[in-house]
Formats: sequence, C-alpha cells, structure tokens
Amino acid sequence: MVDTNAHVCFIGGGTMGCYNALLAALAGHRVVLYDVSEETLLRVLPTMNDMASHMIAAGLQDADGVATALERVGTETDLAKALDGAWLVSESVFEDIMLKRDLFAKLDRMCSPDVLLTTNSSALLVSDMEDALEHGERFAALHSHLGAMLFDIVGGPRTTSDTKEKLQDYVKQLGGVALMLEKESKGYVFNAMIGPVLTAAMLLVINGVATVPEVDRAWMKRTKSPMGPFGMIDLFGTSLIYDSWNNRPDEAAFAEMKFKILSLLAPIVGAGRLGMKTGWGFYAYPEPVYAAPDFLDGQPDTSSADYTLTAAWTQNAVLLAANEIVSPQVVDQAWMVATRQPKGPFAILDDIGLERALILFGISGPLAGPENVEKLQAFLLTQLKQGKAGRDSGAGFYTYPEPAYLQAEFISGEAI
Amino acid sequence: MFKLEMPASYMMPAHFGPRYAGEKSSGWYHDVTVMAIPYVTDRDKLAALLPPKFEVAQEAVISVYYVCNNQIDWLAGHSYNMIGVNASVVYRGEEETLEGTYSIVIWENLADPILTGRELQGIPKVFADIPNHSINSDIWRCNASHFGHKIIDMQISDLRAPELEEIAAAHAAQAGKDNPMGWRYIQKVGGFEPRVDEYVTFPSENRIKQVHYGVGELDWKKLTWEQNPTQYHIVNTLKELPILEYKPAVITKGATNLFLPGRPTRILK
Repeated sequence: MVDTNAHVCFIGGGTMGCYNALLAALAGHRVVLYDVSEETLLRVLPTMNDMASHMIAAGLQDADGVATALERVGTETDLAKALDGAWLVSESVFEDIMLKRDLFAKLDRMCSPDVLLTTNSSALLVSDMEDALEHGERFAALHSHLGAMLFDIVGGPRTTSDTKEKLQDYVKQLGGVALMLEKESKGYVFNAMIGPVLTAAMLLVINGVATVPEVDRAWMKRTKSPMGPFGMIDLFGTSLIYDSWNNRPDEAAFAEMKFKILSLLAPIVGAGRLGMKTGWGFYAYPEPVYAAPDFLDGQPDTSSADYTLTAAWTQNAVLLAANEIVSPQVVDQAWMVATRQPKGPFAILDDIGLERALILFGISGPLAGPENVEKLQAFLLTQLKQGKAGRDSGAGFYTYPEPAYLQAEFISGEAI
Repeated sequence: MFKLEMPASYMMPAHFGPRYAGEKSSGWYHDVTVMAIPYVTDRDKLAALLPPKFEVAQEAVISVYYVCNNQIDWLAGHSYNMIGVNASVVYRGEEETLEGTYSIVIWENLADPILTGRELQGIPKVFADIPNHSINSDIWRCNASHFGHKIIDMQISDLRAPELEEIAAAHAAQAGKDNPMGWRYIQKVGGFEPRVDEYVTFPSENRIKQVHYGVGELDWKKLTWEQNPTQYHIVNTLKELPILEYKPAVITKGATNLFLPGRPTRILK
C-alpha cells in the first residue's frame, strides 16, 4: 500500500517533470519538484499553470481543481530535502546516460529500499542504468506522454512484480492507462510508431515527393485524425523534434537522414517558429489551414504519401508485436489512447487486408529497418495461414463485424 | 489604329496588346534551389563598381548565387536558371536610406525573364547558357557560359546542417536589409545620353524549406572580346574583385514570390 502521507518526488524541472508533477498533484498527491537550478524552479508554477489552462480549455479539468492541485506542489533545490518522505521518485533529467547513471546511484544510496525509483526516459533503457543501483528491484521505467494519459511501465532484469504493480496502481490513480511492456523496447510503444511516421513525413517533403499539406492530408484521410504529421510536430514543438535529431549520435546508418532532417528543421526552429506555442511552425495558428473544413476536399483515398506514412506506421507496429513487446491489441489501445484516433495500426491493417499489406510493405521499402523485413513478412503470413486475412474475410487481428476496438471499454483507462 | 489601354502592362511589340495578367500568372516560383557563395572582397575595388548614392556596406561582401527556378506560374510552369552577383550596400538617396543588396549582374538562360526583368524592373540581366546544377559525391556544381566559353564555375562541398544560432544570426543580420536594389539604365536612341536613369528596388518573398551550409568555391574565367564580345568586360571585372575570405556557402530549397502587393517594385527616392 502506498503511504498517503508520503509524497512523490520529481527530479528535473523541465517540461516533462512539470507535466508529470501536475498530473500527480491533480490526482491528489503531494509533490516536490527538485532541480539544481533555482531559475528553472521559478518557471515551474507558470509552466504548470500554462499546461493546466490547456486542460481547462479542453474540458479535462476545472479551475478550482487546478488551483487546489497547485497548492500540493512544492519545489526544492536540496535533493535530500526533496527526497525526505517520498514514496516514489520520477526522474526527467536530460537524456544523458552518464548523468542518469550517476543520479540513480545517488538516489539509490539516499532512499530507503522501499522507495520506488523510476525514469521517464524515452531514449534510454532501464537495463542501461539499473546496474548503477544496488537495489534494482525497485527501479523501473514509468514513461509518460505529453498530452496523453498513456504510461509505459517497463522493468529491468531485477525489477519485482510488486514494484510494477505499485506503479500500475499509481497510474490508475492518475486516471491513466498503464501499458505493461513484456520486454524493454526503445521508444516503448507509442514513440516507436510515431517517431517513424514523423521521420517518413519529413523525408517525403525533403525528397520532393509531397508538400507539407499533401502529407498531412494523406495522413488525415487515412486515420481520420484532426491533424497530420506536421500538425503533430507543431503540437509537440518543432524544437523538440529538432533536439531529438540533433542529439542523436552520428551513426553512419543515420548520418544522411540526420543531415537532411536538421536541414529541414533548422530554418524553422532557428527563426523562432516553434509550433503551436509560438503561433507558427509548419502552419500558422490559431487557425491552421488543416483545421479548415475544406482541407481534405478532393484528397484521394490513397497517394504516395499515404502509402509511405501508412507503411512506416504499420510496419513499426507489427515489429512491436513480432518482437513480443506487446500484443497487436495493446498496440492499438496505446495508439488510440495517445492520439484519440478511432483506430490503431492493426485495425488499419485489417481494413487494408493482410495480402495487400504485404504488397504495401514490399513497395514502400523497409521502414522498420532492413534487418526486420523477413520478421514482418513472417508475422503477417502466420496470420494469413490462420485464415485471418483482414476485415473483408471476417477475421484479422480482430473479429468482424463487431471488432473489439469499437467497444467503449477498449480504451477505458484500465490497465492493458 | 491601335491604342494603349490603361491600366495594363505592355512590352514590345506593344501593338499586340498587353501581357496576360490573371489568376494563372502569379509571381510564385514554387520550386527554387539556390547555391549562394558569399565572400569578402576589396572595399575600394567594389566601391568603384557602384553608381552614385550607393556605398559599400559595413563589410564589403559580395554574394555569387545560382538559382534553379522551376514551376514558375507566370511562365505557365516553365523553368529557367540564373547566376547573379550581389553586393552588400547602403543606398543614400535624397529622401530615403536603405540597407540591402545591389545587383551587379545577373545571367539567365531564358529570354523572357531577361526582357521583363530589364524593361519592367531595372534588373541588370544578360544571357548565358546555364545548365542545371549537378550533385556528385555530395559536391554541388554549376556554371555559366556564352558563345561556348565559360564565364564561371561554382561549387559547394562539405555540406552540413546549419546550427540554430547560424539561422538566428542570419535572420538578425537580414532584419531591415531585405532590399534588393538595382540601376535601371537605358541609353537614348540616336545618342549616348541616358533615356532612363533611375535606381529601383524589387522586393521578393522567399520561403525557405531546407538549408544546407557548406564550403564554396568560385572560379571566374578570364575572357577576350573574341570569346565573349558582349560580356568579357563584365566577367573580367568580376574576376579582378579579390576573394579575401569566403563566408559559409548556403544551399536552400524553397519557393519565391516576385509580386508582393504590399511591397511592389519601385523607384528609389
């Protein structure tokens, strides 16, 4: 049982630290946000207020509830004081492996063994860090998604089921969906799919295959979503995407792609066009053209951009299932919770039909890595051999005409 | 009898009526690739090229640029290429002072934009053969020639993505200086005096979609009258402008609009 008098300690006062602390405070937890920088901590409450105002505007919170929640938030530049009385620690510092290893070694020494230690890292694995701790049994990844109530929970080699269950309970208290990963996987579930979609979108524009609006139209038509990949980049922040590429090591396999993508993003970010928050990114806000009622007028059902984006999305989804990270249904649940779209990638594969999906994968190239081509084909062929060819055959990853993803409880917020 | 009817844009032969101007002929160039190689040159030698009222800017920078223009609305989707030379200048007129660039010369490989640019805007355009740029082993190359003799070879190598600070600095440096200027000069028929002698500015809007930085290299050719009788003096003069220091070369891809209702081409005051 969680000690209700204890607080949750958040390490790192950046965007994700503030977001996670706000969610905890809104759920009734006392929180202490630690950062070495007093200047950063001075920005915590304004940042939380800004985030909360979006939640209020979206009807997800009321102003009184937010005001009460913010009274539960404390800040601290003294780590020992911040940790004193905490039952859960959530780390969101810069994505630097040595920094995180040193931090967790320190936290491990300073906290009693019953205090749960978690990382919010999206780029580093638990197993990259856990040997820095003596008590690895209380260490796990608890990864949140900005703007979505989806939480990945992944243990390392020593993480106990008790630790994971406590984290699952915590996510339930937050009103979120806990995604229990069977194995570690870079990018977890949602990021492992959205990242390749955004990359494919940018390469379509860079290579002159389609314009920004054409790419977004193709995606919006296919997924019935309110915005396309470039609208999403504006939502996440162009600088966030720029930084994620700029911080990538110059591996030979990605060097050309990194060069191209930074060349696309640098003139936008460098000009201060940071996305929705600054009123201008790839689109101008508050009334981006993609929100206009006629934006999709005349858009064909399929296009080169559609093929590429759909293939990038579904190939990486299939890879998650083929690698037994999570099941196809959990992949779809994660996608639907994070994006509020009506279907996930496996439902879309059912719509396309698995035989046609194999053709699509063939013509669109290895968008989940050339080393995974055979694995993806084998996964779909296994389905086909079982007579599960997709929606038109009555069965695919779901059973038709009443597939499970249409049921309200499919994304009800229960742990999946 | 044919009569001019205003307002409309006429060019010779005017008696066939005005040029088409309608919704199909916007000023947008939808697919524009630019290779620009700026360098610092000798201040006095550059000043010697500038007409009255123009001064060399704080830093004596010349930019030689190649542009591959495609999907041009006013040319019904046709294309052309250009290689131009700009100098950073300050214009001090009687009523206004402008910081910007002075167009020293532009070579283009199509008659239509040369004629409209010279006659209607006062941009110093001349003809050259300018093939599309080539990209080989990550080195971008282009050139211009006339009468079968090379005018210039340009290349940019060692490409990299720009740093955000470089982009921000470029924006800051450009602030208030987006003023391309030129000298519209036409000699009187039957005499040597000028018939038209005025300074102009011809603003455009550039929407840059991709930027690469790199290392530029220019090779102006030395030409004789026999090799290029109408331009040898231009080319040789440019070759005499020393390259004291190359600045980072830039490759951009994007779109350009030449017709800005809020900032039309105008005579400088």
